[in-house]
Formats: sequence, C-alpha cells, structure tokens
Amino acid sequence: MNPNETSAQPDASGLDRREFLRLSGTLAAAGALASAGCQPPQEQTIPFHDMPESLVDGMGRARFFHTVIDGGPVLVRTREGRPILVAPSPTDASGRGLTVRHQAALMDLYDPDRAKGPVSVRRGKGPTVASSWSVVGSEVVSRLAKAGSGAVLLTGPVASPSLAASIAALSAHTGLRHVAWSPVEPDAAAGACGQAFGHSGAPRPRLDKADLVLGLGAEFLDRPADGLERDFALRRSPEQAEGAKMSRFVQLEGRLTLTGANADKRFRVRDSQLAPVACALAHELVVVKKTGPLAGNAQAEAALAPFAVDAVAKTSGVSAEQLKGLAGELAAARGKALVLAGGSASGSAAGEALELAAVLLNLSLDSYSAGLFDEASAEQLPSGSAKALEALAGEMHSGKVTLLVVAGANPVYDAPASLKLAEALAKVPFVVSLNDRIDETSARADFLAPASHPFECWSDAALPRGIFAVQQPVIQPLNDTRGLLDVLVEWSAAAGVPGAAALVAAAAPVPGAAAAQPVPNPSLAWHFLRAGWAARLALEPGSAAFEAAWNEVLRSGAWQGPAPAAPPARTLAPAALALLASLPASPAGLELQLYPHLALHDGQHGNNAWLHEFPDPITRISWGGALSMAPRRFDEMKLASGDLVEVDAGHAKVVAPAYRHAGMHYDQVALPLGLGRTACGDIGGGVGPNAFALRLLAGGRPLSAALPVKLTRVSGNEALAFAQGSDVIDREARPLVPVTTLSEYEKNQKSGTEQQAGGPSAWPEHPYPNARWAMAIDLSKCNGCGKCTIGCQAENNVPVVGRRGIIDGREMSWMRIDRYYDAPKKDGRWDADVWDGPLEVVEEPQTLFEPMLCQHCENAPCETVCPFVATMHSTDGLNQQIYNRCVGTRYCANNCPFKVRRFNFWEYGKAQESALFRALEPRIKRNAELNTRAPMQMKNNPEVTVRSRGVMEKCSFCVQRIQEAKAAATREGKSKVHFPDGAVVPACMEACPTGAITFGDVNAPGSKVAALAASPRAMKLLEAINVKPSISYLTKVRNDKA
Amino acid sequence: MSLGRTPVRILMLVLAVAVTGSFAYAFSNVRKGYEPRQPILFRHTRMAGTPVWQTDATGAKVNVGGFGIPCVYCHTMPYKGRHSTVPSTAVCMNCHTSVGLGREWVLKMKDYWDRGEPIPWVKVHDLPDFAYYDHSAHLNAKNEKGEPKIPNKDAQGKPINQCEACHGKVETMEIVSVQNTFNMQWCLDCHRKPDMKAPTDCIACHR
Repeated sequence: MNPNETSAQPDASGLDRREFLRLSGTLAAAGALASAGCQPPQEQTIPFHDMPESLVDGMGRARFFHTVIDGGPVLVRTREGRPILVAPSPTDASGRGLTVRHQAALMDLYDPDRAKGPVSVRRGKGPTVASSWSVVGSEVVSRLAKAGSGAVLLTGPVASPSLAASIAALSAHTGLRHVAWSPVEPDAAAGACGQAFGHSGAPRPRLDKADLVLGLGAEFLDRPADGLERDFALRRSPEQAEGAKMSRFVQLEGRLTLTGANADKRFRVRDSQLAPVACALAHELVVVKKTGPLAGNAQAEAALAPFAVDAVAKTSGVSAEQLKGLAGELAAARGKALVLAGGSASGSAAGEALELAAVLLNLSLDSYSAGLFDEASAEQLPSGSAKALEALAGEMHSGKVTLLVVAGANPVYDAPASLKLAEALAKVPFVVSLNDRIDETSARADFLAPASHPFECWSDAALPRGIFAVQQPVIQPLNDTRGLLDVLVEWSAAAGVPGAAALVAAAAPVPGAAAAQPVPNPSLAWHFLRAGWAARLALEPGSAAFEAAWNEVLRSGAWQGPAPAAPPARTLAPAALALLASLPASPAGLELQLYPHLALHDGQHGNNAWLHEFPDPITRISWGGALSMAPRRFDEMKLASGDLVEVDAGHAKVVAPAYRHAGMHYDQVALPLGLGRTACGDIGGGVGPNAFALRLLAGGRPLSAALPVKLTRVSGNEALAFAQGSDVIDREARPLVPVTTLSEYEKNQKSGTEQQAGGPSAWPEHPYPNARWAMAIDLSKCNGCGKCTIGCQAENNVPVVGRRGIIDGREMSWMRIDRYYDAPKKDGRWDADVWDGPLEVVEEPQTLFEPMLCQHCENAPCETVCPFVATMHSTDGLNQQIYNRCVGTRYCANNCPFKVRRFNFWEYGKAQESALFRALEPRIKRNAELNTRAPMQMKNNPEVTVRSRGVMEKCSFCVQRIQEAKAAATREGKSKVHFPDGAVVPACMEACPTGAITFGDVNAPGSKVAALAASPRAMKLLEAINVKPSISYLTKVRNDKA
Repeated sequence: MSLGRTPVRILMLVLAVAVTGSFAYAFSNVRKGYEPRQPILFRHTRMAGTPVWQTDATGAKVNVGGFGIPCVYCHTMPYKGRHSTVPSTAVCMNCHTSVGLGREWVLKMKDYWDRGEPIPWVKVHDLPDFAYYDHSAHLNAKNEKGEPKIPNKDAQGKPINQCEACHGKVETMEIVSVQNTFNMQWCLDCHRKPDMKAPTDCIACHR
C-alpha cells in the first residue's frame, strides 16, 4: 500500500492519521501537565511523636546555650536541636577571647570524616573491623590492672578541672601516668617567668591601660586566645576619654604578622636578633638612663653589659639612634608602657632570654607595679611539655610502656621527628586512641574509640580570673562516640576507683521503675561534674540550693570563683640573668621561622573546610601555605609566586611554594605549621606542606624559630590560592581607604577622607520614611583578624569553593577583609608598576585592612542594570537580592564597583547525583566533598535560602535578623518605625572582637550608627561616582607621635 | 527580513506570549483546591466544627456535629512563632486515651503512638521554600487604632476566627483543602491595601 494514500484516507472515526497524532500529542501533553506539572510537589510535615515540653514555644526559633570549647567561652545558637552558629559569649567576664577555630567548630562537629564508632584499627594492617565500647573498655581495664606504671595516658593540654581530677583519681588507683603534649604551646614565657620570679604564671597584659606598647615579635593579635585584641582596640581610636590618649604600638619582628601589621612603627629584626635588641633596650634603660628598680643592681648591669646599643646595632640592623630613640620613648612612658614578647620568635633557642629581656624591660618601666598586668589572671596555664614527651618516647623505645592511651593528641604528626614516635608506637604492646578519627597516630593503634566533639558531651573549664565554666552538650552525639570524661569515669569504675562505681549506678536506669519516673541522665560525666561542682559551689549535692545554682551556671555559662591568689611580688631572682650570658649566635645565613597557621594553628582541626578557606590576613593565601621570603631575596632568586623551593634545615627537608612576603627580614624565611596532614579526611588531607618535620628538639624545648636553613630552587610551580589579586594601593589615584596620622588628625579631623566629590545625581532621592539600615566600620579598631568572615559564612550558608575555586576567582564569601600596602606619596604619580609591589613599598609596608561587603548603595549600580529586576532598593535602605527572580545574567556583578557580588557557578548546596557528571568534571565531585556530605547540611541556617547554581548572591545585612526583629516588634506591640541600637545585630558585628562594626537604624533618634556616620572621620567610598553607600568607614589613624 | 513575513512573526510572538502567560497563570493558581489525602483521615469537621445535637433512636442526646475545639488547641504557635505547628501525636493522646477508642482511624493513630513514630502528615498549605512566612507577624499586626489588621470580629461585632482569612472555614472541611491561591499576587493584593500599611519590599518574604 502506498503510504501517502493511507495518510490521506480518513479512517472510520473520521480523523486522518495526522490529525489523530496531533490531537493525541496535545492530549498527552495536557494530561502530563495536569497530572504532574500543575501540582505542587507533595511535601510531608513530620511533627514530633511527643514534643519535649521545653520546645512548645521554641519551634522555628533559635535557642542559645552557653558552653566552652577548647577553653573559649562561647554562645551556641541552635535551631530544632542543631547548633548552627558559634558566637562569642556576650556575658563573658574572663576576658578570654575566641579564635577563628572556635567559630568554625561547627564544621568539626558536622565533619563527615569523623569516625562513626569504635573500630579495631589493627595497627593499620588491613582494613578496620568494627568494635564496641565494651570491648575496648574491658581490654583497657584488664591491661591497666597489670601494667602499673607501664600504662600511660597521653593527652593534649588539660584545661578542665574535672577531667584533671578524674585522671588524677585513675592514676592514684592504678598507677597510670599522665603525659600532656601540645605542639605549639608557647613555653618560653612560662620558663622565663619561672626563672625570674619563681612563679611560672605569666600575667595577662592590660593593653587598655598602656600608652605605649612595644612588641618583641609579639603576636597577641595572631593568637588571640587571651582576648587581648579587645583591650588593644579600646585605645586605638583617636577619640579617647578625658585624660587618656591614643596608644602607640611599636613592633620589632622578622616576619610581617597580623600584629605587626597593626603597629604604628615597625622595625625589621630577625628572630635570632630580637633577644640582643631587647637586651640593648634594657641596657639603655637600666645602665645608661638608670631607670627603674633595676638601676644600680650590679648583677643586672653586669648581665646587660655586653649589650651596649652600639654593639647590638652592628649585628641587628637597627641603628643605634633608633635603639636610643626607642629606649627614650619607653623611658618617657614609664608606668604606662608595656613590653610584650610571646610570638613565634620566642620559640627560638634564645626564646627564654628574649622573654627574660621583656621581663627586665617591664620591671624597669614599673609595668608590674603600675598595674599594667592583670595579676589575677596569672594562672598556671595548662601546657603540654616536650620534656615529658621526650621521656615518654624514650620509655616507649625501650619497651617500658605496655599500655598507651592517646586522647586528643597526634604526636606522630606533630612531635619533633627526632623522637621517632611512629617506631616507638610499634614497640608498645597495646595502643588505644581516643581521637575522633583515624589520624596519623590512631592509624598505628590497636583500637580507635572515638571521642565526642565538645558540643556533644559534658565537661568543664577553668578560665582566667577565677572563672569556671561548664561545657554542656548542645546536641546528642551524631555517631557512636563518647565524651572523654565519660570514658575515663567508666574505666575508673571498672578499675575499682573509689566513688566511680556509685556514679555508674546513678546513671543506670532503675530496673522495673515506673514509666513516669524520669530517666536518670545517662552521662557519667554529668554525674561526675555535678559531684565536683557541688564541692566547688560548697552546696549539698542534690539539694534544692545546689540545683538552683547549677541551673544558673548552665544558663549564664560561667561561675565566678574566688579570685586567684596574686602571685608573690615581682622581684627578680638574679639567677635568671644567667639566661642572658649564653645567648646563641645568630645563624650565619638564612634563618627559618615556623609559625602556627593563623586559622589551622597546630593542624588539629585539619579537616575543617572553613579554616582552610579562611585566607591568611597577611599573605591572603587559602588552602595551603607557602614559604614566606623577603621581597628582595625573592626577586634576587628570580622566583615567581608559587615556584617550588626546597628548605633544607640539615636534619630535614621540606619543599614548599615560594611567596613574596612584604615586610619580611632579608635573612629570614617562614613556613606555617599545621598543614600537610596526611590522615585527617577528604577535606584537608594533603593540603600544603608539613613543616613540623623541620622542628628540632633541644634542651626539652621544640625549637621553631631561628633555625639555620638553606634554600634551593627545585623545578615546578604550585599555584597559590590567593583570595586577593592586588597588594599595593596608591591612594592618590584610588582614595579607597581612609588613613591618616595622629598629628594630621589633630590638625584636621577630616584628614584622610579626602576624595573627589560626586556630581549631581541623575536619580531621585529615596525617601526612607521609617528605618534606614546602615553600618559603620572603624578602621582604627579593625585589626584585620577576619572573624567576621567566618561568622558571616556560618550565618548565611555561604558555601566553600575549595582551592580550585579560589584560584579561579570564584570565592563565595559575602564578606572579606582586603589587605593593602599603602604606597607612600611621592613626587609625580605612581605608574602602573605600583601593582607589582615595588620594593620601596613592600619592604617596609604600611598595612591597611578594609572589611568589604555589600555597601547597600543608595544609587546602586547593580540595580540599574538587572534586566529582571532581581536586585532593587527596599524602603529601609537595603539592596535586595531576590534569588528566585535571578536568572544569572551577571550584569550586576560586572557593574558593582566593590566586587562584592558572588555568582554560583556550581551547585554547592546539593550533591550532583550523576556519576557521569562527577567523572567528567572533578570540580563537581570536590564541591560535593566540601559542602554536601551528610551530616554537613545540618549546619545550615534555616532562616536563609541555600542558593543554587546560576544565581547571584551577596551580603544582605543579615536581613533574616532584621525580619526577626520586626516580627518580634509586632508580637510585642512595639514600634516598627525605628529600632533601638542592638535590636538587630548582624553576624559580622556579633563576631567582631573589637567592636569595630556598628550596625543600626540611622534614622532612629540617638542611634550610635548615625553618630558614627556623622563623625568627621567617616568616609563613604566612591563619592566620585555618586553611589552613596550605606556603610561609613572611619579613618584609620596611625599614632606617629613618638 | 521581507515585509511579507513580519505580520506572521508578530502574530507568533503574540501567540508565544499569550501561551506562556496563560501557562504562568495556570501554574500560579495550582495551590487553590489542593486536597491531599492524609495518612490518618482526620476530620476537622468533627473536632473543630460547631456542635449539632440530635436525639438518637434510644432517646439519648448525641452530638452529630463537631466539638468546637479551638484551632490553637492543636496548632499551638501561630500567635507566638513563625509556624502554627502541626501537633505531635501526644496531643491526640490527650483525649484518645479515653475516647473514640474503637474507631478505625483512632486505632491507626494509636498504632503510630505505640510504635513511637511520628505521623507523616502531608503538607496542605505549602509555600515555596524561598518564601518566608511568619504567622505571628500577621496575627499580631495592629493598625493605628490598635485593631488587628486581620479582623477578629465582623461588622456586627461577632467574633470571627482570624485563621479564616487565609485558610477558609477549616472546621467545615471533611478533608482540608487550600481555599486561596497562595501565590505572590494573592499575598500582595492584601499587602497593598492602603489601610494595611504592610511591607511590599521583596525582603519582607524573600531572603
């Protein structure tokens, strides 16, 4: 049959074939639409089976808990039982500040690479076999009984009094020995104080009382665990209360640190020369100027005699005039001056001498007697001892250790290589690890019994100034893990420690009890803690008074104990001066400094994606580390950024990419510690070089500075993941950061804010009838630490893009801190070569930090170009970004002069299921590894949309918190026209330790942000193009008045 | 482009816009009338409806209507929080430990309770995930005179249920269905009323 004929012939129904096909196709499409496309996706809503009474008012609302983590008091925000944000405790009186590690602890809690339960590791021979807590417990306890003093517990520093008590009880009963080891604990200060005063407690300096601060390689902003940054910032703005003046900070250091970048005056002195320079200053004060109580002290004068200014000037590179000037400045500020050491340089062989020199200077300047040190906080810090670890390693090698329990320490990774701990472990018959994963040490153990994250278990902590805090769990353990204290109490009970068995009985459910009877708290640690706290609070355990006091401690997070007894008067023991007699000579050539990575510190949290992505405030490198070299040396070796260089310290070699580090001393190079973990998980494994191998053990101290090294260029280049493209800013051409000096400021308060005025606006004014949100950032208080960026990342579900993403320039951070080196004014303009970092700028850099986030411009350039009106101005002054309207043209980002808009090139929030796509594009696999493996999504804030691919995003001024404040005002019947200060606190402001960020309603009468925006120091960026930002930057004032 | 084809192109463009527009309109109305089946045939008419008393064959008075239980007995949170909340099974068990014990759906509910499992209710009023709605901000909103913006009494001063404004008369529904379109247009129709003085900024609902 001819097909053409058929199609033309109508069939019995009266439809020809084409007509039938057309009709049926249309019907099928309509049917499909009606059945699937036209219905919303069916979702379930799963209520509680039996809602806890405490949650009846809490659904959909945040709940807050005080707890401590790693010795830092924090406030944890939870939603429906999930911790979603870690913020500084607002009521903390201990003065202990947080580090970025505290704030990024969420990523450790939700780390998918943590061990899921006890396993038999079998020393890494073959695959692991699942085990159980009872098997591990009975093994350990039976061996404890036999081992006697052959049993050793190796931990990190123990800051918890209860944990210390439980270890002591177990030791007393079974002979177990306790060794604490901490790889980067500063030990030199304690050593020097111990020798000088017979009391190793180093008191906390009161930077808020000092007019002049001299840093001898000090790193109090790099290692802010003591909260010094807040005190420091109090005196860093030019507006000071009556009778006070802005403080001046002079720093001597070999590597440009975050602390040194905040100095008013900085001298480049390499680590090995810091001790002689400090002694020269002391010589000038004590011997020449006869200042302070040490003047006339024959022993002190004799010890300082070799350090005459002229002699030291020859070796140190600091001229005699400069040294004399500095000494004169110190003498003039006597009673109001502080000298601080304690940085990486104190890890050198001369570290204790350097610390002693600082003590001598402080004594001569009457700093101790004038109250510039907080003696109430001069506690004995829990520190790990390298001496004890050295002894332990020796015993392990000789087979004296028969049982080793490792808890919170990773010596195979971070102990000095000369101890050969991996081989030593092989000689111990039974090794149990209580670390949280199969790390470098656990892989060589018999069993891994994973400890819970501090957010999952009970413990406590002793904070400075006699304050005690309880570490309370904020979530049930995610895996089959147990708290360290729980494990120790259980083992104690099994080993027959008196009293422990009673706790186990109290925690066990009563057999045959009525269902209505409350189940006793199953946590042994909880029972143990309460027994200890009853004694501390001097209340009867179980009494109503105790329950009330205990609940108050949990609610407020801390308890003020009696102030610790002040240490004996600070009088110098002359024997300590012997430290100065045997100063090791400086290495002839290059010397190496090993400094703890600012975010990762000792590498213990090496699988934390937020910490890896956090760009170092100075180098701006994320996802790895580099060998910092002086710009001149870098240029002389004709290196390019990332060229591989071999660092040879004699006993070990490490290959690292080279980085041109501004402000570095010519004879010094530096490498960060805490990188190069080999067994921490899929996120941080193998990122960066491991510099721990370069450390030396000498005299019971691990040396990490002034190590003589040789550099050799090796072939290859490893691209560094920079979060910022440019280094140097020419403020003549681009007046983007307001900076001035104190003397200029006193002449003209507006100095530093000069910029080209804008012309008339083409746009109508916005009326802002009610609230108008605005922010003020005080650059004098901002020290560039970057904690705001982590707070923002946690609050706003900002994804992690990984090393490749940073290299491609596709970082997603809504908030960043730009770091610039200020090109000095010169005759004629700087040419384009300013971009390459000319030596005259970067050898002695003037560092500027500028937090950069969406400026919420009144005349926003992004709004005018969006073809889909996905970004527009709100009536209260926010630049709104509406994700579901955005189609990703990226016009807005191209038109934004601040580069604060971020485009989702990848689907970060959802794992790509297709194995084909994952295989074709490795970045898809990596993004899923970094962002979407369960239980990582649990960290997400449900108040903020998780953005998908193809959508633009940016800072929203934490609009979810603004909306919550408005809803709260509605509920409480308050005005929604204006909001008082503190009604809305965005995440960056909450995280800022120095109070540099102020946010509020600029239209509200008497609001703080309005006052700051009207300050003569305030500058709004890019006035020339009339964008009218909502953010005011307050001038950074440098104190040039020596 | 030849002049002859231009009218055809314009016509096609108009048609395309019309088709797209009508589909968009159809999609935006899909929520209205949505009436999913629930794992438990819970009858709002019985629990929340008005009582109707009748005399049965034995002469006893029985309530064949509802018990008139207020909405917030089960949905506890609309005045206090973002969600009105779906009750936990324990709320059902407040009464069903002693009443309605032999009935089919009560037994099914008790099965869930005994197994310790939550009941997997199907969401009826389901806004897209990018819209953030807050019950408390709506129910507590007052105008300058201090009267609730969502009226709680009618013109005669008779109290009316505020929930009705969006959810309709749920107490009359055997199976709960969506009574309004619940799309952005419908939200804005109300927000734009002059006396409402409600925000119309995008960020009021999207963040």
